[in-house]
Amino acid sequence: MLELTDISVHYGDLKSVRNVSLQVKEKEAVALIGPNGSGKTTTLKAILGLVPLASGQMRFLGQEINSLPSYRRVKLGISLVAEGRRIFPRMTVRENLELGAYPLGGKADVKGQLEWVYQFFPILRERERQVAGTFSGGEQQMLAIGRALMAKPRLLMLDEPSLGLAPVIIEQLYARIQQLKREGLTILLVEQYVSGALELADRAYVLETGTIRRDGVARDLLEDPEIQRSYLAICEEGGGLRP
Amino acid sequence: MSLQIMFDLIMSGLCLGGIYALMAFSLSISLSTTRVLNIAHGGFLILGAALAMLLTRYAEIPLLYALPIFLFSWVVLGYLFEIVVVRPLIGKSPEDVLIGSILITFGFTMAMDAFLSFYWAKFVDPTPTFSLTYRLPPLRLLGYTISGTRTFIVCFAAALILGFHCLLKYTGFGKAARAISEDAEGALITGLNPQGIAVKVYICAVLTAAMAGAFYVLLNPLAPYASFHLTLIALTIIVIGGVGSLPGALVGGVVLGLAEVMTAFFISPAWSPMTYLLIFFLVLVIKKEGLMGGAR
Repeated sequence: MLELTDISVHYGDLKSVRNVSLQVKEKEAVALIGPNGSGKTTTLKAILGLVPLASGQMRFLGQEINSLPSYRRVKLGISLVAEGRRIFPRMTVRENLELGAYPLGGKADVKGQLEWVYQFFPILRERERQVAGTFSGGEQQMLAIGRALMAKPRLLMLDEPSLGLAPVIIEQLYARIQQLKREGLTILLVEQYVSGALELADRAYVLETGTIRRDGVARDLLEDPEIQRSYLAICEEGGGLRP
Repeated sequence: MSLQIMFDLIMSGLCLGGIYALMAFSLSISLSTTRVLNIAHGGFLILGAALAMLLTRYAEIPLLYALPIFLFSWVVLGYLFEIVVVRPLIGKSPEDVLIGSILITFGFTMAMDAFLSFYWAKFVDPTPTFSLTYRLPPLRLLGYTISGTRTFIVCFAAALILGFHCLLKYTGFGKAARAISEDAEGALITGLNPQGIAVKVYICAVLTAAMAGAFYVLLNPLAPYASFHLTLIALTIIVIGGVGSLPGALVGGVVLGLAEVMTAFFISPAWSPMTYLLIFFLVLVIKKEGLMGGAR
């Protein structure tokens, strides 16, 4: 479904992503893990066209997307739930969600999409008229996912959805993401919360200093001693994220 | 002082305030959605006034036909302005956008002013000032008379501001414009097309400025070189009211309009710029995010 071949992204003089190749197949959940500053977020931004590609090729559903503007990529079915959520804090929950369907243009079935999103996150229906900036972190994350779902994505990319959330909330959130996966949505997940990501994902890539170090079946990586030493231990120490 | 004079003064102040509010809000929305500071904005008021004069006074086209020509011309000119002047700036880094926009639109203003005054003096009137007269019969209310023209201007300005409010609140385009002004990158992630929205915003902004200009010269004459002065007033109102805020522009515009009219009447017209600098100063001291800055 999504195929990156040898992509590189430069940030100023820095090469922050170097010759990364990865694939996401239909209905698959893929995790992208690695330490801070390893280029995970940059990779997701490049897929959506928020940062320019220095070299390489990106294909989505067989179509080359290298030079498409972001809004065209969203329309094709790539949605990103960005790090820090990036919801519109002064607008209501409903307005935020409606904007999610904006790229689909006049043909969008906004009501139907809203119903679908409300099924996943009933709290959004209850607080439809509330201004989004007054939401708690977990609720904002649900809204951000809901907004991404409004664009009817084929591929949902999530950037650190667990960031800054309490363990109980993370557990609820992952249950929802799991549910989306069961409904047949393709997922590309970037996480610091490695154990949760690897339990959810089918396959995973390990990114270090802008290049892919390892890749494989998520379950194998979860049991790999090296991965456990470098990532899981850090996670447990770093605030006990393990729910 | 009689109540009649007070009535007239308030009506004049509201009139000027409504025009200022339109002028300021149209600049404010184009600034908050594209981050392009359009110094040429005041110039569109003057060009609007000039075109309105050209159509009604010199070409003597009846209002019924002049109005659609006026509106259509400004939609086209707003579109061209976005494509030629604004578009090259969109997507650049914030510092480049700010400096680039000031340089480009300032140059554009000077070219526009010089072009207009030169050709106006050459072909239309050797001493260019823009003014229009459009008399409506006065209204009578509880024994007082109210100028019909002013009532018309106030109503029209109020209707346009209400229209803007509905546009922003209820239409997809309005929501997208608000989203972009809140968080430009968040809007990009959501899949909004900034260029598509910028075009529509500039058409609205330029059209509104031109209409405000045509109304302005019903009240006071304008010199062709006043464009920078008008832009400054608009910027003052934006800072007083809060960037991107429609209620802010409305309150700021009316406060400045009333203050200008009152100062001109009670002290002297020469003092009116002083008044709004004073208001500007006071607002910045008391509430630096603007009157409505926190709640746009």
